[in-house]
Amino acid sequence: MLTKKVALSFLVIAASGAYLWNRPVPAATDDILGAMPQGDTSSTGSIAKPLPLPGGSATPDKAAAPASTAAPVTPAILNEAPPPPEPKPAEAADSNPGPTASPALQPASEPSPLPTEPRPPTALAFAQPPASPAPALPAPEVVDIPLPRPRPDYRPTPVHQEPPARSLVTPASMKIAASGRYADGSYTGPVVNAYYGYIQIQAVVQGGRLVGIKVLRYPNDRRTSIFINRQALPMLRDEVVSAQSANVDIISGATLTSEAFIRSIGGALRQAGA
Amino acid sequence: MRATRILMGMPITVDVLGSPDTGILDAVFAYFEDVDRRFSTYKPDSEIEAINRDDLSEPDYSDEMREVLALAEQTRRETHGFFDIRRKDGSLDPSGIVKGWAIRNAAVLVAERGARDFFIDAGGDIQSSGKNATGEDWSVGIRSPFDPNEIIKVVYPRGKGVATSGTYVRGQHIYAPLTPDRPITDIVSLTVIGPDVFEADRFATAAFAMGGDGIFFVEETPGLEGYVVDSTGRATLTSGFGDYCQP
Repeated sequence: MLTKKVALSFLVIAASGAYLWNRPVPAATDDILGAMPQGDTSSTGSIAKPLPLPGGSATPDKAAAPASTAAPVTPAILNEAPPPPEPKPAEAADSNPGPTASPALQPASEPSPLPTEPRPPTALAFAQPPASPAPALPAPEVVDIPLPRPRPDYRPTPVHQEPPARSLVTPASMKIAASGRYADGSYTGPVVNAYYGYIQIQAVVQGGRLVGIKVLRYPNDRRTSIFINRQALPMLRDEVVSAQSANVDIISGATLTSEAFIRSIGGALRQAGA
Repeated sequence: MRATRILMGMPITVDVLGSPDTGILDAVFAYFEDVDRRFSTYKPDSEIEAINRDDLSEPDYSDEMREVLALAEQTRRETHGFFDIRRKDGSLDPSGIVKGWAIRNAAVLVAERGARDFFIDAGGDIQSSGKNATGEDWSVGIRSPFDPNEIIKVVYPRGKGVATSGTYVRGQHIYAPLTPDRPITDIVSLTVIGPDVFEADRFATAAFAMGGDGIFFVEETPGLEGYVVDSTGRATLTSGFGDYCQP
């Protein structure tokens, strides 16, 4: 069932967050899931918001075992959040960035700026095993047949200036006891910069425990720009994603929002901590 | 030998095969701790926070700090400003670039100690080298943005770096039919394979921030390949990505 799956996903996030609060202490992987705040395990509540509610990233099981089939995620399920009293985004519209020309930092020792030429990323050849001592970048691979046009060289175009990110983080200490007693209610965390957008979490506490998380805000306000000339590029291939064999050595997944997530929910729980 | 620890707010796994040097893992984790002490914006006594408080002036920056700031500035330029470590209040948050940089340096450290077959995975960003325990290329699964227990793609980076940026969509998940003309919007996961994990990581971060344009940015940047997933479950591949999908 979809809602169940969705709720479970949130739980995973919660687990990730709860664990990481304690992160100054290096710990064994197996503990990751252990620190999960136990929600009500019996109900099949659903997430409060119907539509895409991406939250922080969820990578708790990653360390558990790459290639793990069916990570033993605790079957806890988030409760339906009670009507939130105040899902009030506490931020002013980040509209007006101002034409801050972003006086770029000027490190003394700057690597050679390469403004015009194509930029092959500086390579660091973790070369193929045994017999390849060759450190050099392999020549750009030959494209395969169906490619209609060769790739254009990378050419910097007029600079698209992104409004500088703004930080609304409350920089208090992040130490939060996952097992602490909280006062019941709903608590809205601060809006936190997740690098490419903002995240805001609401924590729902019942019976002194964290039982639900709502994502009030997540980075969906992506700017679209037009500095890329798609006409000059080949049509890219599409496919529908589908589950693959989990028999892999390592897993790559997103973690970008996790710290922002933790900060926001940490702020919410501080209010609950009383 | 293999170990995982939580450092810098994420699980870091190091797997080194066939090396008698049992100190490698400790050395790698010690390095990450060192990086965290210097660059964490969560630690008041870190160098970056000292800089942000104006307690440290530029001539006193460490070499590592200079390098990272220079790389950040280079990345800002190369990504048309989409990657910028400067916050609105003027303070710096280089965390978007430190991770890939640290993994790359850690991989160099492992290689310098004689190991040839290994990988380092820090929060889903991966540098692998050599072969796995069965003598095959390391395989990397791309995690589904819709279900953390699911893999949606398997790649064989063969010494290249792999990094994924994204967020996880909750709620309705409708598989849309393939409609090539439809613009890519609302992307939820973007994986980049680059010359090494540092390159992959910084461009994955920046390209994800570009939204639907990100995959085209990856396409037109030499040395990078990408795989983007949008909220409807459609994936788009750069023209050379398929080469990494063959075992």
